[in-house]
Order: sequence, then C-alpha cells, then structure tokens
Amino acid sequence: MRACRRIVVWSLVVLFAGAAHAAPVASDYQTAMQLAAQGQDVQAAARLRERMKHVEWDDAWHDRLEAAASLLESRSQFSVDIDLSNAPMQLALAGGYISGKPAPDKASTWPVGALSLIAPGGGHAWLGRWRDAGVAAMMVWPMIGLTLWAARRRMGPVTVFFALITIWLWSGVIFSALSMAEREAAEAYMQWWQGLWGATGLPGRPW
Amino acid sequence: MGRHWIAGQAMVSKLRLARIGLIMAAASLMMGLTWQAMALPTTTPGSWPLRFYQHVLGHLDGRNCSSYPVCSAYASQALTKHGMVMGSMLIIDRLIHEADDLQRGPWIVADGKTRLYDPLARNDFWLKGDR
Repeated sequence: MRACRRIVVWSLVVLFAGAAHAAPVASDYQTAMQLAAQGQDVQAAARLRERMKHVEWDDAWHDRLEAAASLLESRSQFSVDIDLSNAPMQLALAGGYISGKPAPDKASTWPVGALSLIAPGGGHAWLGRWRDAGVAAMMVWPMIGLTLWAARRRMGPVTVFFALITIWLWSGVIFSALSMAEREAAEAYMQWWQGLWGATGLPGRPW
Repeated sequence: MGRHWIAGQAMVSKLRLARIGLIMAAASLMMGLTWQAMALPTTTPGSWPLRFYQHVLGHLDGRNCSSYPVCSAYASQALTKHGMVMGSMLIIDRLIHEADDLQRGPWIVADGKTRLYDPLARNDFWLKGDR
C-alpha cells in the first residue's frame, strides 16, 4: 500500500515536472504561430529554430519545432521542396499527403503576358477569367480604335493623347493578367501548404 | 472741377480695390473654415483627383463599391506604397479583376454589408521579389 502511494506520488511529480518543462516550449511555439499568422514566416521559423536548441533531441517537441520551422521556411519562399528528414514522424505523415496531392505548379506568366500583349483580354481568358477578359477588352480595344481614328484624321496632339491613354491601359491589362497568374498560383500553393500542415499533425494554425 | 472729379475717381477705385480685397479675404476665411469643418486630410497635388472623388463625388454616387477596402481606399494605398506608375497599374488591375472575383469571393462583412475581401497585400505580394 505504501509502495503504491509512493508510485502514485512519484508519477504525479514526474508528470508535473514534464508539464512544467513543456509549458514554455508550447508557449514559444504559440508565439511563433502568431508571428507566422501575421505573415512573418522567416522570423517565426528563426524563433522555432532558436527554441529547438534548448530542447532535448529525443523530446517530441524537438521534431515538432523542426518540422514547423521547415514548413514555414518553405512557405516564405513558396517552395515545394520541404526538408522534413530531421522530423521522421512528420515526414511519414507528410509523405502520404504529398503522394495523394502533388504540389501545384508555379505561375506560368509567359503565355499570359504574351497573350495580353497580342490581344488585350487574352491573358485573362487563358486563365479562365472570362468576365475579367471582357472588362480588359472593353478598356483597351475602343481606345485603340479611337487612337487609329484620330491618327487617320491627322489630329496631332489628340492622337498622342489617345495613344498615351491606350498604352497606359494596355500596360495595366498586361500587368493585371500577370498579377492574376501569380495570385492564382500563390493561392493554390497556400491551399496545398495548409493541407500539408494539417497532414503533419502539427498543432496550431499559422494562417 | 476736373481735378476734383479725378480725385473722386481715384478714391472710388481705391475703395473698389479695398472692397475686392475684403471680399477675397472673407472668401479665403470661409474656404479655410469649410475645409476645417469637412476635416479634409492634407494632400499632395498628385492625389487631388483621388481626394476629390473620396470627399466630393464618392458621397454623390451612393458608395456602392462591392469590395473591401473600397476602390478609392485601395487606390490611395496603392499610390502611397508603390508610387504613380505601379500604383496606377494596381488600380487598373483592381477594376479588371473585380469582375470575376465577385463570383468567387472570399467575402467579408464590413459596415453591415457583405463585400469582396480584396486587400492590397493579396495583389502586390509578387512585386516584392520574394518568388
């Protein structure tokens, strides 16, 4: 009976000691998650790596910190090459996810930019954004017509004025098509990355 | 008689000038007070058209922008952060991509109205050269 009591007391002591040891790691981890949620991935990853130095190698938190830092570093560069070799548990979990859901491709801006340059609105249509393509075309094509109309009548400064507005709007349309290509690729990457984060079983949501 | 008439005319023109000066001073004072009462922000000549839209035309057209932040606020942020050239590109981009984004979201409730959530950071992140 006495031995049983001793075992219970010591178990409680060990449990509380473990909890007391883990609490600061968890709170540092949460702080890093908050930083990452504010878009400061590099700082959050650096914080996690710094904290990792003070955690025992065989502690479960060591692998979590390593995996979280690697994932945040990859997100900061929109990279799909994620090194989880130092976090075997997370690597095994992530492997299943990646094989089932491959990483999205990077933005293909060349066809989009070229199409917008040749035919205003074409870049947006390539991305499947038909309404945007219509708006872009309505912005530029009438201005091209107006510029040609003024040029045919040799209207001098009026032609220059229309031409400058056309160039400005056309540049805006090309910019918009490139921006949409980049944004769609980035949002697809973020969705994939969030799935990967969930699959690795890491606590917290850094978004 | 002639000398008196000339002196009288000179006095009249001086009084006229004084009256014009007084009217201009009063008008200036009124404009200053109106400006203060409207709490218009200090601005630069480059952003006058935008400010004019935000504080005069915007009140007249019913504030019907479907996005958050509203287009004029977005334009102001874009011009402040990226300057006239890149800022104007971002403004054109906002006007174009709103058409499809309004069918897709994401949405946010702002000022009691469901709006398309489209902050500047969503569209200018790739300009920083991070990728």
